[in-house]
Amino acid sequence: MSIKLAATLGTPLDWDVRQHFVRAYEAMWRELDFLVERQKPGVARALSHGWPSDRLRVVAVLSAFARTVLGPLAAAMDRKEGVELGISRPIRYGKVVTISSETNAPVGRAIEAFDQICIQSGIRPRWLHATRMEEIVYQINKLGDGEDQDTKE
Amino acid sequence: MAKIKTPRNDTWISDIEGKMEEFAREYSVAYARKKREQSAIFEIGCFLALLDDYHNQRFSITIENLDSDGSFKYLTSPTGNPDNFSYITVEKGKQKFDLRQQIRIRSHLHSDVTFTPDIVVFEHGATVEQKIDPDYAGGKRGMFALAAKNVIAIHECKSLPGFPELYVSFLGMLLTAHSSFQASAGLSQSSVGHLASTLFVGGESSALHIRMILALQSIYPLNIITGLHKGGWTLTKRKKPLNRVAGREIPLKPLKLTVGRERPPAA
Repeated sequence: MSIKLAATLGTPLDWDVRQHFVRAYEAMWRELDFLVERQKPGVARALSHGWPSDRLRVVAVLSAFARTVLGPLAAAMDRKEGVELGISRPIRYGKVVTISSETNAPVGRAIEAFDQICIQSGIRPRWLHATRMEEIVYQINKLGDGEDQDTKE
Repeated sequence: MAKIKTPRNDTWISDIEGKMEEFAREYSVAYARKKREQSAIFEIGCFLALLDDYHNQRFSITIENLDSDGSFKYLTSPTGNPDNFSYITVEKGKQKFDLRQQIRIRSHLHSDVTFTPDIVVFEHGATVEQKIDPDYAGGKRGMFALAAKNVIAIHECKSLPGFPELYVSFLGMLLTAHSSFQASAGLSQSSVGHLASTLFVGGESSALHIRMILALQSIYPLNIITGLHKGGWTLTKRKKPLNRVAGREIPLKPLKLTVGRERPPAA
């Protein structure tokens, strides 16, 4: 099921970026298979909190996408004050990259839309930046056990 | 422990698949960038974060050498002539420094040891030498390099998840750039002054990695800042102070480019 999601998000990507994206979610899937195979208690607890393996695979794909596609772009976004450079005065890197309020706006909207879909689906932003499935499972269980007080993400 | 089973026909999954299809249709033009472009955007993000740090310390900031359309022309490669690209000067009191990208540094260890960090902060007026070297571009183009003695800080940007070998390899870069670089030398954790040489990392770090980073920062005058992929990040939002270094007071003079033909003498 998550293969369809991976294809949806991966198809528009440039070949190099797509390879990074695929490697990132496949690594998490492999780790999840290992955790399930070894019947690690964390995975069973995640299931009891409403996060079966298929859903964890979806989270892995979304995390890979956030880290390998949106993340690098996010680093130069969201500056609204400070030095005018990159806001009202564009930065040009060769002929293809321009950083300014105008060029940042569509990327900012894409990141916002992606985050909103994840939040509405119960996926915390923190999970999207985890690089290991074990970390996502840990965060899910922390939330499920009521130990995660950080609700302002 | 019971065998883990997953429900069939999970509407949560089909719902998210549908929403992401719509997302990809609407926004793929905005986010589908080439790898090189992604890295460039990430590096620019780090450069701007650094610039905002100087701005917040009330340094006077000047954008130099703008393109004819008023935009900042970002140097993309160490082969480019720095004179043809934009750069930043930051000034406070009698101190003035340049912030530039892709300036090759000639190490204090040996004149044949050169490397190019992503961002360099150096004393304004320092000479970026251009020398013809038969082993560089077939001797047809000049090789630009800045002597390590003029370097205040170097900053490296890595748009990937951090890992121990990355952090440790940064030490080698600093050893090559700073003659005074050693354990417990010039450690100053504060919110003012130049940011000590810093490794900017896109990915988040695990608890174990954070401990390693804090340990390295407590021993060496360096910073390792992770999690830049989260966006909306500034240096000033940090709760803990970073390592800082002071710059020397130097007489102000314009940037000079010199042209020579000899191979640089061995140290």
